[in-house]
Amino acid sequence: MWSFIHKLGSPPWFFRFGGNLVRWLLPVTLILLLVGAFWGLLVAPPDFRQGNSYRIIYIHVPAAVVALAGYYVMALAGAISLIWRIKMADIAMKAAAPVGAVLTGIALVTGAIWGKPTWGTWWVWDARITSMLILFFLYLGVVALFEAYENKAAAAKACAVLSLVGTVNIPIIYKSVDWWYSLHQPASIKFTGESAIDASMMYPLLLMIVAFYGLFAVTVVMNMRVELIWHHRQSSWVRQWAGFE
Amino acid sequence: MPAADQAALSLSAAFFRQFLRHGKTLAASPSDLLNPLLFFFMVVTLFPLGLGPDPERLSQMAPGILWVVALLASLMVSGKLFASDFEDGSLEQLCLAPHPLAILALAEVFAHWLGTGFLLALVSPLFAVMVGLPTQALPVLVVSLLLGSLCLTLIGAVGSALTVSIRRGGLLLSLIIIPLHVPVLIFGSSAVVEATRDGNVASWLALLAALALASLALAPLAIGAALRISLDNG
Amino acid sequence: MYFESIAAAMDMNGHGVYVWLAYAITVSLLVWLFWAPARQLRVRRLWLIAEEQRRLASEALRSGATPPHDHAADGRSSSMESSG
Repeated sequence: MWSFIHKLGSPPWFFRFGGNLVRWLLPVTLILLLVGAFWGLLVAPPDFRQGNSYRIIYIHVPAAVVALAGYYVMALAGAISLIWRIKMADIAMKAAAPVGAVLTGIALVTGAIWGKPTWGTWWVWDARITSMLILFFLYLGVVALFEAYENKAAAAKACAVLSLVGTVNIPIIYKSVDWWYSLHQPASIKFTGESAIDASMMYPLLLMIVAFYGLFAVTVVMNMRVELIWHHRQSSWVRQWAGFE
Repeated sequence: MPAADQAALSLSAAFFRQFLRHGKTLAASPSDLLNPLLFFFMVVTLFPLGLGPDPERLSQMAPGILWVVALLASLMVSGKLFASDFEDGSLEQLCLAPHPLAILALAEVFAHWLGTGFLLALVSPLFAVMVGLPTQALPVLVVSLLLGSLCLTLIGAVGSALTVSIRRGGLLLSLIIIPLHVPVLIFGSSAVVEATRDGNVASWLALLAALALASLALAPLAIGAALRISLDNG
Repeated sequence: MYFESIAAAMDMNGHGVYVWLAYAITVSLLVWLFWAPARQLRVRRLWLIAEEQRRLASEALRSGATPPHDHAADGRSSSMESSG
């Protein structure tokens, strides 16, 4: 077990391992996504209150869940990099940031599109969407900070610190936005109420959530491989992979 | 004197020395103290100009307006916090000192807060009447801004420490810090809103106080780490 | 299948525009998420190959007639040129 984790830190080993992982996980993820989307779009029954527009839930919720989890993954990678100075963790953190940002963007856009037929407006400041928006800003901040630093080793450390600070704040932000929402909204209207979700809708949702986690893993590993190749472009294992030497 | 006592004494002595040094620099240039207040004054004026002078509507929006402008003012001054130290090399001296960088940085942040957020909180009633905040809410405004500006200054200091080595890092600072400021804004403005409604102010202020304590405990660690990282970059 | 016909599935009682728009945007973004690193890997591999050919060409130019391949010199010259 420990030797496995130790090997993960070796660039050529991780590159090969990642390549094999992507080779089978990518098709599996794509299949899961297709099956889940088909199920959610065309097989599951419509919602009692919202009709067919609720089907957006099958991309909105998985994207939101994985976007939030992704931030924690990014921060964890940053923490490992800071504490144990493991370069691979740096690369994982840098690879996860844009993926998380895009997923948050998907959650926001699909949330807005979902809002139009449901409540009549393209944007509603309800607690969940607002928290998602702030998560988006947190991601953008990490990406922007990395780009701004000239010394990329220092950049990785700075982003690690920033993501850790963000991680501590996320529960506080989510809770405060929740309370903000209940303080200001008129008592009668509730935009996103908790409603019991039927089993026939729950299964495709869970499937899509699993698919999105797979998607996250695949794209992050793919990004890491790209970064590893560039970072070690003068080493012999990269030259071998490129086809000469 | 036992060695531990001696070390502890030096630490607080170092803390006060850093605090006074930074405080004197601030006090030496009155414009540095006055400008944030002027900024606050002018930007508050923009809101009636943008929204219309209707006193009813203004007073409804007053808590939010005052708090947002206070937040913006805090962002503006955060950028300057470690900048001069970074440029003249005294930041490196600070890192080499035998005392924990986190504590020395905290001394600077504290001095900075007294010259900016603290002052702002005290003069806020003057601007509050301009936007029609009900008088009963004024004390809560001041208290919320006192606690809140401390949080904002501490969080802003983390951002400043992270971006001090970046040219024109002011905008980037705002980008990375604004999401972290959201809870402070929510708790602070909600306290004032509740004060206008004779509602439950205490819980919001308690939350602000909790944030302030947490920031006091945790921010210095992040600031210390970030300052060292910035020195590596520039 | 819940819907009786493809037309019904497109329309979804009037909500079809929103649902399909949301899915279309998502699918495009996800496709890009997969495609971008795959393309980057290819691009960099090609760049590495091209760079190696450039290096060999400039080496051949400098040494004039092709001398016996000196692996020690390879190591030395590549460390000189690897400043990028």
